[in-house]
Amino acid sequence: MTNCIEIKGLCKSYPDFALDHIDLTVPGGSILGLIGENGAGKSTTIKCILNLVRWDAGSIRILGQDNIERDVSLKQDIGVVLDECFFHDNLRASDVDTILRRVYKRWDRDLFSNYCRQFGLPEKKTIKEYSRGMKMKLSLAAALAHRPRLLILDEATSGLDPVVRDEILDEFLSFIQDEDHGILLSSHITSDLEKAADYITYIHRGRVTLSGAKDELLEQYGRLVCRASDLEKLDKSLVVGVRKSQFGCEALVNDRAGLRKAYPELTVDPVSLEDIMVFTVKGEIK
Amino acid sequence: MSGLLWKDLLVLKKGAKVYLALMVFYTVLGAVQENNSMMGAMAVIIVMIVPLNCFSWDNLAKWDTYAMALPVSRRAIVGGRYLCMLLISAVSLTYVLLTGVVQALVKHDDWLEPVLVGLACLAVALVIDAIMLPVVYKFGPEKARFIILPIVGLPTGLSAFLALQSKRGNITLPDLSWLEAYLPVALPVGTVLAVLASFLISCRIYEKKEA
Repeated sequence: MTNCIEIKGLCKSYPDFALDHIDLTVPGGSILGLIGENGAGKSTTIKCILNLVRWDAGSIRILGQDNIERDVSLKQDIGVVLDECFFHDNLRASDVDTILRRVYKRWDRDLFSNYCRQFGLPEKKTIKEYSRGMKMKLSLAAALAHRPRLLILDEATSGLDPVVRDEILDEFLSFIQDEDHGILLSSHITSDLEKAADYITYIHRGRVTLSGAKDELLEQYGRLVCRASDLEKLDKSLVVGVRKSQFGCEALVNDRAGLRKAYPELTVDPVSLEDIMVFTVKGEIK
Repeated sequence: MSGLLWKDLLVLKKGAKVYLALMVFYTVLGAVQENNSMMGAMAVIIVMIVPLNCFSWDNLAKWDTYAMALPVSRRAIVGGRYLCMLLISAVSLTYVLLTGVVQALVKHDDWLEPVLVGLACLAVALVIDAIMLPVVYKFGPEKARFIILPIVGLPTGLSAFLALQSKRGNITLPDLSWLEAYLPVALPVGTVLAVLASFLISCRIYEKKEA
């Protein structure tokens, strides 16, 4: 089973921001959720993968091949949805079909029509008349219609209602049933990633802060609610971030089972990906 | 590349009625004023503004970011734009030649004159585009308009000024009639070379562009 994406030591500098030695792997047959606050470097990482920007150091391999040497041929196998719809306002869905069937060798017109029908995209309306959600659905239809092996999705489910998001996540789950397929899904909707992702990589200020199997991470991390005096007693290496209020303290701990064993009097709750993100960003600096 | 050409043509549908109206208006004006070069001038304007508008609409849609993610080389993306420019030129030229020749035949005038004027205007338009397109790739369509204006406007304005002064007898221009012998070869060859050089420069600029 080939890794769909392998990134090692990726560095990219801008005047006021830098990606700093990003390592990221999307195994075949899996979904990797990429999370991080606004400006963390998620979109920059995706742009590096797609050769939209030049990076300074590191290596990127897509479907087992160097992504610069085989740039054009590799993109035949990649379906892309970025954070906006880039089709011109006066075009219709049928125009998108006219354009892209001449770009992608494996473009399936019937499949594109089916997705448009399934997503409820009107045939006669121009893209200017579409809602934000409809524009996203059109981008998704275009990404899926050429039967890619890898999907790269940057905020692809934002702007979609929960019903459609659920349908699309199911679509992603059936996409990765083929072990040769993979999905890199960058999203702020962490509940979607908790539902669908197999692996999570958290980028914070240009660095990978956290990476691993989603279930293991959620099992490993915990949220401790306690008094300030209890917090003082804790082994500091267990605490990732702290939030203090007039009512007490909340701490993100990186070994839930270990902490329960060591401090059975303290209550440690399961966390969500959102908790991990918020505590990492807003918790006091240790 | 054909997909990108189709994209330009489908997007151009937006302004097609305006271009057509302009062409018809200047055809009628030219016929009324018995000025055969009116359509030629119109063709120059159309060939200049249409590619610029394509860039503007792409800018508005942020299309370049998506295009770079498609399985199309940067060279092919640039090639698609140049192909669109040449197609628009061919359509404009056909229209200008047809209307010019028909007008000339109706008035029993020399039909060769509108043909030569049309071809010369097309050559001028393509050379202007050859200068303009790399500037647009480098600076974007909005800034490029301000840069192109002096590049094209100054020589044009200066030539017009000198011609007027010469007509009034204020100055004597050098005799360039010897150039006429070379024009039938120099103009098309020069135009082709200019467009080729322009394409290569645009490719180089676009290869380095980041989304």
